[in-house]
Amino acid sequence: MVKRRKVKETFTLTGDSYSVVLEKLALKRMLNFNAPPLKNTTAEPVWKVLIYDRFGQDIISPLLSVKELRDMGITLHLLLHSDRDPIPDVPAVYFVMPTEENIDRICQDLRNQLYESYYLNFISAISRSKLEDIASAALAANAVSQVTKVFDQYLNFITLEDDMFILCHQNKELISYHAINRADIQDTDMEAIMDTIVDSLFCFFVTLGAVPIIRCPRGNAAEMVAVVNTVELESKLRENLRDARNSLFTGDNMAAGQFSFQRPLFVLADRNVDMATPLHHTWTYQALIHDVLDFHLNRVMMEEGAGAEPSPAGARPKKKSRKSYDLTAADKFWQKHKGSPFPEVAESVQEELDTYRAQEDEVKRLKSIMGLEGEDEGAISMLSDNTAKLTSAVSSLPELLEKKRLIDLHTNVATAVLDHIKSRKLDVYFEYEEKLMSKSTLDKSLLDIISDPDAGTPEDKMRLFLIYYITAQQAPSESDLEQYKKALLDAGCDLSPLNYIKQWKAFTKMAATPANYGNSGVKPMGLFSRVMNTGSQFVMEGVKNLVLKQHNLPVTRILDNLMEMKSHPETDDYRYFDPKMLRGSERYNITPLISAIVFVVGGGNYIEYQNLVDYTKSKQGKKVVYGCSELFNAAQFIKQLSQLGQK
Amino acid sequence: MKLYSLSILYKGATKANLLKAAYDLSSFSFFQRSSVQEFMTFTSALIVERTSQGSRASVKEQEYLCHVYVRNDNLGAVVIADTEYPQRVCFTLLDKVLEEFSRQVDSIDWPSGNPETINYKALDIHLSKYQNPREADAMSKVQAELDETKIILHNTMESLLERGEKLDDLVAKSEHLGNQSKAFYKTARKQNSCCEIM
Repeated sequence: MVKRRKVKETFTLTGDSYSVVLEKLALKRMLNFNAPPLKNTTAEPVWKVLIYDRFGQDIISPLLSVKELRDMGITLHLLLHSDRDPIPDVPAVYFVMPTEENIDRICQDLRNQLYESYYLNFISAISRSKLEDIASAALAANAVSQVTKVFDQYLNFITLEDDMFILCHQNKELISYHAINRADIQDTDMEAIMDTIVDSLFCFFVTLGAVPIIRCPRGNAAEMVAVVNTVELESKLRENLRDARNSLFTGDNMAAGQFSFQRPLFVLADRNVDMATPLHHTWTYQALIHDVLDFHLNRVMMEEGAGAEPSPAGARPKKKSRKSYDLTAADKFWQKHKGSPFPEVAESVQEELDTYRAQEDEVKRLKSIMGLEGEDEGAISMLSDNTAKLTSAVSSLPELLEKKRLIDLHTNVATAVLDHIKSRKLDVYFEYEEKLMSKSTLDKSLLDIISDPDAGTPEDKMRLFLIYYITAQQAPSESDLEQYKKALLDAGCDLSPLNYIKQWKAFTKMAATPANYGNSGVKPMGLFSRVMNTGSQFVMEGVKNLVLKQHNLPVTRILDNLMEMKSHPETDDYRYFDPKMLRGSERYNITPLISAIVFVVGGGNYIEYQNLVDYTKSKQGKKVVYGCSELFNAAQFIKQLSQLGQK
Repeated sequence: MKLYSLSILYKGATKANLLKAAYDLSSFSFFQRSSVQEFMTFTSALIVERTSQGSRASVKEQEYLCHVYVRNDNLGAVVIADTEYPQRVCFTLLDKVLEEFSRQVDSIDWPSGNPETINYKALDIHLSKYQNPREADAMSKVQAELDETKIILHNTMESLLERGEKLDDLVAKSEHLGNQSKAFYKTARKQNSCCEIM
């Protein structure tokens, strides 16, 4: 008999685990056949096969490395829609979306008797009728007893960081900024988008084990998401009351218990409240990587071997190889510096390299000492001392090797980033945009930068101009605008994003004006000194060493107002929803809130994320998680604006 | 070039009464549409109120041009277009629509009518047909009758107002605008920019 069980979360919370590592825990449990992992077990894990679809792959890959999968006994992992040979004595764990195609394939697998037993885990809840399809196929294949478990995992979201998640990567154009804001959208399209977004958010809250207090602005997609989300949560809670066995937010759930005093605040923001940040040229490591390199789901893809080496006559030119690097939680350098300004990163990589070389030399020195035959009295007496040293050096070799691997990784990545910075003069763009966004005095004319053939790609110039247009108090005069447009066209820019931004600016609340980008101020600290020495990997000559003053971007400011209960015209009008109050919503939250989830409908980026992280660091004891419907860099966003601006 | 709205109103003693309206909001995104529609209604009503009997005017506001004709019998019509759309064709449209309307709907219903009670169905079709200005086949006829020097040109909405009158107050009091639209306007105003929604 196929049993359908809903997931109950029974994990323990450690001090700082208000984080989306919960998804990782949920995944690990799933891979352990949905039994809680036994602690300190020396038993070998049961060997199993993992079958996923592309959605499942995107969810698992940022969280679990191949090694971690192997540690849990996954000997083989395969895509659902691929040719798979039968492995009749091995259990299979499936992790897929409950789509018609996938269900058909599962039924086919059952009929073909591929595996010993089947653990079916659905990323989002499976419908009753589809469940019955599986049951019938199992019955027909005489495989009922082999379908061991069927679970709704409620994991339909992707966790990229402890404090960051996105909704999906596959098919993200269905819920993109373009999809939500295009003019020719029908009611039914919007409904479908809302359902997709809310399904993921619902999964998120089930995994978190908490029912939030919801705040949203009025009159946009964020409000619609909030309303639909509240309705969904409300109805599921009512179901829970009726059927305690199947409840998703049970009282015995430790997480729910924790949150009953301080429920998290769920703030929905609409991308349209801040259109400048997604276009902004940035200066921090992770955001830069996302902007200039090919980076998604925590993996950087780069081309290598593109050096200007002269090849001997007649020889084939050196082929460029593609390398990929995973930037993970285990990478200490990454965790420390992903939010650091780039010059600091360059300096730190250099430091790490120097430290590593010193350690490497020490090992070499000890090895050469050990090579002495013993004629030297002094050498013999040093021996025992050095044996200890050598032992420790040898035992730290794996550590050293790993360190070397990471240093190489970051050297390569940072070098690639630096190349972009230098060739496009990204420091100039960054500084100028900061000044535009904070309404500081400008030392250069915008027209000069646009017309400069050496500064930036046409896209860089378009980004800069759009930020100028978005943040300007007064729209430029007709004649000025014509001048800018001509300069942009001469530089090779595509002007269609401007059409859309004009319309956006004409309509939108003018609350997101320059003053509200905070008093950032960028302090230049002169040109680099230390890193300019000849031994440095990074020649930062000509690149400004800019330091960022902490300031709140619009989304951060909105969160601050709501979390600290500050009165502000922008947020005073926000709606308030409490899914636990089944009849109307009365506010009874007087104490300042300690945890929040900020979700941007219409897409977000790493700059916004980093700004929230910096803000949270400055607030003792508060936890903030950032989520967005899709993650885009400026190039991808401009492409969408361009589509929207086509007439 | 584009037409956004076409409305027929009755110019009462103190205020304008909306009789029928058609809108093409297909160039606005999903969440903008209801506010845009409300503002177009508000604007059309205000323009009719401030236009004297028997006159024509064009009011420019940001990217939009509102063309109005109020007849001597106080029946008026407003079409809101973009700046590319030929002015002459707009006035042809207004004439045509008013003529047809006055034949189909009894004048006794004008002072108190509203879009639900008024039985005139052709407005949507006219709006859609005139999206392509070449539909204005009667252009030559209008050219003869229309004296362009008599069309008053206003460069902003504000020039329609009387001394001491504020657009803010009118927005706040308007029954054509829902709370949300009023809120939008309020915030826009705070930042020293005109009502750019239109």
